[in-house]
Amino acid sequence: MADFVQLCIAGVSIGAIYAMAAIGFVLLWQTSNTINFAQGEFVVLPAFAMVLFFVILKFPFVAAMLATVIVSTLLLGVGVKELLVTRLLKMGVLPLVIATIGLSLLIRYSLQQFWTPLALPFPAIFSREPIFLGTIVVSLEEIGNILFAAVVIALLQLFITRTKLGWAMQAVAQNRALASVLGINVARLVTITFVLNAALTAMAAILIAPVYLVKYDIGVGLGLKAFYAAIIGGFNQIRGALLGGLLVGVVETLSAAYISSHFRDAFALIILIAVLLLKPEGIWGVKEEWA
Amino acid sequence: MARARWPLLAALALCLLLPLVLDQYKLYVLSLTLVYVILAIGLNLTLGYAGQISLCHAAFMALGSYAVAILGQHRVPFEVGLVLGVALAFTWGLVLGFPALKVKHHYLAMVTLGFNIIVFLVLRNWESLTGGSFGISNVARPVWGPVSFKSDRAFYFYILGWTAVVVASAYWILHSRWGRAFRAIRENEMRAEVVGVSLRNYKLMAFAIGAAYAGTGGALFAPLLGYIDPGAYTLDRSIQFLMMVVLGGLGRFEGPFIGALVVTILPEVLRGSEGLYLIIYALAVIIMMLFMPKGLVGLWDLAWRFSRSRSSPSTSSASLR
Amino acid sequence: MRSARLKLALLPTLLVLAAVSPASPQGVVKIPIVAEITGGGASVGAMWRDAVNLAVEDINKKGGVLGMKLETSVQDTQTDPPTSVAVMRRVLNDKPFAVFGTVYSSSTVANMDIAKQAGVPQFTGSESIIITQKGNDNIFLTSFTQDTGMAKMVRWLLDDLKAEKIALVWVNNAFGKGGHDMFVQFLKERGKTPVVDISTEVQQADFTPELTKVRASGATHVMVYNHEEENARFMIQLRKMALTVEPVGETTLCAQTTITPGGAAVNGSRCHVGLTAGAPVPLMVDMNRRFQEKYNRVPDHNAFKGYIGVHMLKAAVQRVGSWDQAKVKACLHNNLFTTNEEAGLLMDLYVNEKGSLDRPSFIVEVKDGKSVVAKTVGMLGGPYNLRPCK
Repeated sequence: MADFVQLCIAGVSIGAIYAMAAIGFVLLWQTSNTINFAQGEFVVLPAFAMVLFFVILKFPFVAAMLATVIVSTLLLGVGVKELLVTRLLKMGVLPLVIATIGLSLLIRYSLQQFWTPLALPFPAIFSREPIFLGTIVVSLEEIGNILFAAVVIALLQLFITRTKLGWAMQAVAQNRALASVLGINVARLVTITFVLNAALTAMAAILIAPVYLVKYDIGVGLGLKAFYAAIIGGFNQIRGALLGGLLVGVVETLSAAYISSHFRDAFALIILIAVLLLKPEGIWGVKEEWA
Repeated sequence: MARARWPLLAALALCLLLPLVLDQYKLYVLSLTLVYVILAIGLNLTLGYAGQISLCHAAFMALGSYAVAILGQHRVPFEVGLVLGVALAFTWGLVLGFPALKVKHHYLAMVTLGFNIIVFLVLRNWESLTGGSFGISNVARPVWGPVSFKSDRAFYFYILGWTAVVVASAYWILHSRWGRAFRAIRENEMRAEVVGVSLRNYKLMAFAIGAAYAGTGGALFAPLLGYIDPGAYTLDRSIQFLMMVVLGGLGRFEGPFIGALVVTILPEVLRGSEGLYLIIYALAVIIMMLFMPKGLVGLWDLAWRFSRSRSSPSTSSASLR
Repeated sequence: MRSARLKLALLPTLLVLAAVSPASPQGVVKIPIVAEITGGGASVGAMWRDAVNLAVEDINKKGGVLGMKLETSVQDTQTDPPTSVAVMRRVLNDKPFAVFGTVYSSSTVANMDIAKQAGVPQFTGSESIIITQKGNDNIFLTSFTQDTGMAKMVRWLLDDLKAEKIALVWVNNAFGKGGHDMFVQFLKERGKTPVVDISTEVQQADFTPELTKVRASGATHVMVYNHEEENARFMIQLRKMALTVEPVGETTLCAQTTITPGGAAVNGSRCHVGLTAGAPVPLMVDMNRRFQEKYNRVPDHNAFKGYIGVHMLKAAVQRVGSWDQAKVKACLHNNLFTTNEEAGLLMDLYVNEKGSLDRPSFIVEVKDGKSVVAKTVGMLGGPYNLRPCK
């Protein structure tokens, strides 16, 4: 029983990380019909930036974090939006999908070639000292990840539901044409969404780096899990991404321990396929209109 | 598309003559290109013509490869293995086609992606059947009584034969009412439905036939390489085919040929760059999407139009697609 | 990267020269490198390549072999077996004397038949047992295969450490499966089975399922057999969960590429390794120093393998007395080679009839972020005879 709780805590902790990556993914889809196949790499790049600022240049932690967020929002937020998305959006879903696949390969292999193919160590943000609760052992790292993600998501939810900008985003998500008619600057809003996504992935990177270690290919699995999370939870709701992330994390961990480690990657997939067949908009999702 | 006929015949003639001058390395690359052409034609049918996003092409390929490899271990004739592999791929194409009907675009991409991963896991873990991570070596090449296709040159011609069959059948399909129906669906689903095109059947067939072609390609891939393991059929491979088809030109007959050629030959040409090749490739894909979203076939069109206008300046080149 | 631009700039010059001068200068033997320069195996292939280049440099400085200089080139397989087949074929077109690579077993199994058909001896950094099971007399390993390695490992585990309950955590690919099967087999021969037998995936991030199972089983030792990054993550989480089990491994757990990302968490791990930069063998220490001088990083076991491989070729050619591929291949089977005749081998080694090695190895413990040698383990078999090859 203690083991079960141990596993659940681990699942929720890693699930919180998946949720952070999934949320931006959902936001991008909602406001700009972008399926970002490079979402995993959007986390890897800021992770390397953190190594640069915090480990190599030895900035104080908060300064390094800020620097990373700024770099991420400039390159992956504004940069990607202006250079790629604006032009490709008009051409339909597929060219943008392909371009983001190309982008993910570009980021991945550039990091491998020009920085290093090896994994870089990253100092832990939260303490790793074991805390004993009976036979269950946790550390501040698990708790910290969960709390940090929860705070970020709560703030985001407040932003979306309580601010004018947030309402504008919701409007654009529901019906772009109508939002435009109502006077919302859709293009600017899309840019803001990209910037928001870049900031979110940068923060996810800070959580992930100590756990995953910083290597050019950690984006692959992470991006995939973010997709699963987004789709399972609900592709058009932020809280859907949270639910999806937690679900994927917990299912993965429990099934590897209790069912089969050989098929570890399959269980979240089975849930994904079941959701797609039974409720395609996701567990907490809302049916999309033909906008 | 009628204008594809001449270049096709010329290409065929070239393929028949080339083995006389090519060394074993270039012959291997050409054989691999032909196999990739078959795979690209399949994906082009599913994605380019019928608009169905398939991210599991490598899984269908695996079915063909493993059917041939496993049966070859039991001395079953190659063609039996090939037919079984193709049948398996076709069947699973139908099975996957059903959710294809209920869901759209990115959802379909996820279902196919999931299928690819599950197939990989099954291949890896079902050791007794597939050899698991250790794979299958010495995949047998076809033998017709006294005639053996074991040598590289002989097997090349065998592959060429099947490529011709696939290309001819694809040509026929796309010129039939199937082809017209596919194009109608891709352009505008609602309109197609209104006009009486049974969306469901055509989508299903597009998926299944594309999968069958992938199975054919897989069956030829295994003996060409000689050794297969589950690692050859991952999501990365499916994405490689996606790139191939998009780079070549979606929904165009010439697309798969151009795409397969570029993707196979490019790394050989860029080999001197020692590691930069993948970066250049990724950049090329992005730039292509930005400036030439129809694919490299756009260059082909330009060349065609140029040569046309040079030979007969008075005729306007009406482009039949 | 600089070299790529330089090559492009030199291209027109080279083209002119090629048209004018003969194809290759006299007195040169070609030994191309076919390795993983990009893709998942990039770090491994880079080490192999750098070491082979260092070996060639060392040998050429001393006058070459039998009056001939060695010449290498590097070809990238992208860690993709079908690509490695194409690359191998391309390289064989130039009629080299021997080929150095690949390192990843799944690529080697795919391309070794091609080299065999051409009769060009192939020196590989792969260690998987599947390579020696294919009846290929053209392939020569530069380390022992997993059967020898695991045999030594199990012997040390049971005889020296007196391990009672052993848990096994292994990565589910050809490398991990090969090691797993051998480990379990040798344990069985001694009447034992692992109390936990759980597989992991490449790029796996969370190891709580594995660790809870290990803890629940009451294992005294856990055999950690993943790739380097995963080992690092595993060890970090093992320490976080305050497990008291003893971590042991075979090569990968104590490799520098595990220690660097894993940090202090890896301290205390003990491994059986074939080759290590910390070995108290003077020849290895010297090679280590020269490698660091030239490349500014510590060589790992893949680097040692590459270096030794080139010198295996040199030793065999010298013993045969001529550059004869068939004779050299025959010489490299069932034969002992010592550092007395060829210092570049770094340690005495015996090549068996399948092309795999038997060689002394080491028990290391990770202390303060370094692999420290605790003990040297002799060859598994022997005593071996030195066969002349003339």
